[in-house]
Amino acid sequence: MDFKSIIGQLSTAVGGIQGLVNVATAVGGPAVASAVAAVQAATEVYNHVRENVEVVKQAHASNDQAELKKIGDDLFAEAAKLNEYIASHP
Amino acid sequence: MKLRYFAAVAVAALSLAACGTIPAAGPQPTLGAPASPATVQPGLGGATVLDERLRIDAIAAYNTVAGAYVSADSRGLLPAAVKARVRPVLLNAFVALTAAEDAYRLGNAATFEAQAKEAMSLATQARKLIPK
Repeated sequence: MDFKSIIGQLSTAVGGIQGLVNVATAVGGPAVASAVAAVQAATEVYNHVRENVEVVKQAHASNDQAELKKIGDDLFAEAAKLNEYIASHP
Repeated sequence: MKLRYFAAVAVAALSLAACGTIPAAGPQPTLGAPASPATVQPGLGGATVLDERLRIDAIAAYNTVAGAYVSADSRGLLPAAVKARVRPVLLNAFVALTAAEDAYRLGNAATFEAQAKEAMSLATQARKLIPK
């Protein structure tokens, strides 16, 4: 599977899940609250995966060392935030 | 609905696997010849493009799994048993990432490569502990 097909599949999936979120939110009510939370989490994960795939693609296509260093620095800053959450929520 | 979330994590795994990493054959990552912090310029000075890519691969691998974990946990969707298994592995993965960052800044090629690969390995382990 190449990068283009992965990105295409992820984009389709994100669009479909976002539609479900909209429908569930419109219906409303406590019964759908956890379902909405699950769908929102899934949407967030899809978006996150897509962003990371793009970053890795960009890194493997680039020979600009300064650009690569900046990408790495930005990613590590995000990693530090994620770790902060994980460490503080046992 | 939790199934959708876990399906997303499965796609994350697939995507990362497809991204690949530095090939085993060919030039190996190096931060510049001697691995002694005293003799190598810190940071970018001694690093190669391959080093930067390995660094990005390792951090992106961690961020994808840790991001999925945080998305689920912050909404109360992670079962306690899963959380108990995955959390320590993610914490260890970040320790390895931090050690890799320190080695990267000091120009210690051997430690950098070992810790970056350890972080990727732990991120993969954490991903496998999340049910699909």
